[in-house]
Amino acid sequence: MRHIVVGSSHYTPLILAALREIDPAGIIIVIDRSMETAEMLASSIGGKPVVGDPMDPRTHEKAEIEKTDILIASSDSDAMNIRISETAKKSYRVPIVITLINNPANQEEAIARGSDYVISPASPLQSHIKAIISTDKWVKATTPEFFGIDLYLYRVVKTSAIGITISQIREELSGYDAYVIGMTKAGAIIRDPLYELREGDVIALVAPRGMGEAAVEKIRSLLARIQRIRAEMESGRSAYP
Amino acid sequence: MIGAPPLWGSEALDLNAYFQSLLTILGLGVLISIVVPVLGSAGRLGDILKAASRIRGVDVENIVVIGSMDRSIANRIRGRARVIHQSMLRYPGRGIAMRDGYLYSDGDVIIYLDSNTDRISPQSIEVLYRPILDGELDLVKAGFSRRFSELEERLRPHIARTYPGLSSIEHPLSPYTAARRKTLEAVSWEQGWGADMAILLDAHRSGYRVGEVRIDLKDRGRQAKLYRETAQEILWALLKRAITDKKIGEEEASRIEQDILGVIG
Repeated sequence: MRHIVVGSSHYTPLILAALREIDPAGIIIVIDRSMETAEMLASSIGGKPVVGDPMDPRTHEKAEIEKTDILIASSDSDAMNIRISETAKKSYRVPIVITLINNPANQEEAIARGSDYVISPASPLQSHIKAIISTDKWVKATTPEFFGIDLYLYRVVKTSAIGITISQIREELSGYDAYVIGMTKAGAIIRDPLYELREGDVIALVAPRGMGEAAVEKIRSLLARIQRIRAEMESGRSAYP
Repeated sequence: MIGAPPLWGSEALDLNAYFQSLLTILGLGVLISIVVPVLGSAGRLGDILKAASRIRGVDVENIVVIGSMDRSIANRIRGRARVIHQSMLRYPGRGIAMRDGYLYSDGDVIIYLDSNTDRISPQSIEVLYRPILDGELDLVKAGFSRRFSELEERLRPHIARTYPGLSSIEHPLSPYTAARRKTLEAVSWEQGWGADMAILLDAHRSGYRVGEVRIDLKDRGRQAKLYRETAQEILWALLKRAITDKKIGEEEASRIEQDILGVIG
């Protein structure tokens, strides 16, 4: 296969190494304004350097962009990455165009302008921080756009979900397009529908993209309801009329 | 091409190029990109977009570069500007935002404006780019920044000594700049506050014609605090170029740094 990688950001060497690993015999072309940078990057994976302004049609000609199977725009400027991706897709009909986005706020713009896939290295960072710090809260995990799924995770630490069973949660979600699995702290899948969640267990919810939040909200209301019942029972009042 | 070549006396007369240039002077077929970096609040962005929409005789595109992940400004100006969020969210990232704006634009002329400009009009924007369309200059500075006026006073003699061709520029740190697209290709971009200085110096060092026009353009509000680090970034955008060009040695650069930053504290 032919691959073109444009620009030299922090991520470019990682992208080049990944390409070489999955396509040992492939042609990899590196485009950069700086000859030194283009040559250094290309030589690291046995690729071909092309020096020039990445937006200049003469550079595209030198890189034979119209022949490439995959173009990855990986400069440190989202503006440039989006524009190159747009040109590759619309002017040269490159089959697969991947755009690196440094600021996650630019993802929608990149897709709107024709990019097939957008990679936002900063997005997992946000969800990882949230996942580490937040316990007993639903965290939306980052998944590539093309998977078309919402993935939410919940780590049980405090009392709110302790003692609740996976089957109770599944029952609550009947009628929703969402599926829940539980994992024990030791990493085993919870198969027993009557297993009561303990500290350190994890609940994962998968739903088609855009439908996860409603399912999560439904579980939140279940947990709140159960907490209310528990509180009422502890205070000696009956939970039921 | 911007600015008409002489009709007579040229070795080979290219009528096509000549008439193209005339059209350019008239502003026909010229695209002006107005780039506004926005950090925090939108400031007077609405006034700028309004003034830009009233410019006649040239095509205008507005590019707003937002230095955050906040989408509310983008939603508010939808349809009036193309929006890109600053690639790297480091602070200060003025140079990153300016470069993003340039790379996202299509214009023959790029204009940088401060988002918090006090009283802007279509006429003041036109005065800024007119010398470029007339073929007189490649980069035009105008107005001034209240924040940097004191630092500017201290820097000006050093700029004049190291790059005498820029001695007539009264406000080198002004955020108001118009540049021919080609001029910005020569810039070695500084990421932070040194960006305006870098654009001015690199255009001059690459042989482009740099000048200044007098217009009442300034940022709004009182003089903001000037941090030592900010002054340092701006100063080093000058000093490292002067060292590279062998205008000064490293010892002298340190002396200038102490002289200027010592006062700021």
